[in-house]
Amino acid sequence: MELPGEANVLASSEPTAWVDQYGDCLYRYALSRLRSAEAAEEVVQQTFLAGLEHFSQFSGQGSVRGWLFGILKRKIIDLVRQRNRTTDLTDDGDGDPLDQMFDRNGNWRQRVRSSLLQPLDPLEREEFWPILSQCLDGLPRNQADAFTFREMDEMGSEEICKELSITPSNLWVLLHRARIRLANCMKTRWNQEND
Amino acid sequence: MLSCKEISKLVSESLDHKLTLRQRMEMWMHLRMCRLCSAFRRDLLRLRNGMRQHGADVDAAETNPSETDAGEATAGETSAGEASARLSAEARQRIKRALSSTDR
Repeated sequence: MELPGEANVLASSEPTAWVDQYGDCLYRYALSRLRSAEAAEEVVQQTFLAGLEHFSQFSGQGSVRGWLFGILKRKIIDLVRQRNRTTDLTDDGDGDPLDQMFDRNGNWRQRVRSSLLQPLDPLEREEFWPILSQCLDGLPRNQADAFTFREMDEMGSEEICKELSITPSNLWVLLHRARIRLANCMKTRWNQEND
Repeated sequence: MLSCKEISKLVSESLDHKLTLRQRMEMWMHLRMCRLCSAFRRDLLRLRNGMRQHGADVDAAETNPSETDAGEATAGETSAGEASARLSAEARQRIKRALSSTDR
């Protein structure tokens, strides 16, 4: 089979050259989705191994980089599926977070009212992610993962349900809990940093 | 009448799927009267925009570098720590070894 130029060089020389060329960008992408250096290294390694194994299937259409990213995205979904398989989807470990926000009658609790009225809007673009990232780390992993797929990757509800083998109502509960905690957490941290 | 707790759930779900006509009416009537739930909705939209923006920044910087050559600002606007993150030397070696051992 005739391989195109770029692919030919890589296939014939050493695939370890991939690691130097694409390792960092694959890693940064994986880290933004998985928020764990260990997990990100793991999927990057799996991506290179799968890339090597299936290199004959690379059509030569598009770049090696784009092809490797395609594999990486698949590996990230697989890892998220695996790491959430053992968790009970509705178990947060520390009770229903909504109980901390609402009283028995379903009204917003007094102590969250003032922070609720304080808008998130003035948060600058460059300070948004560092704060959100810390708050995501504080969430139960299944909530953080569902939220990341939905809001960062803009995956549809149906696709996420299929990938994570959960029902739509499970997913909506996860997302609602994630959002309400994140909004609250971000304001708390932001206020701490600006005090 | 739905409580704020129930309305907050509808507000969140409205970002994920189309609510029924009845749900939409309940939600919008409540939001017109309730500053707190309106503030919650505004926060969720801000959260969504910020997250999507960040996702787009990472994608632009990492998956398609040629498009960001024109402006380094794009990559620079992602969080400093993450945008400069690199595969550690140990991980790099480990991956190379794994690749070599399966190499033909």
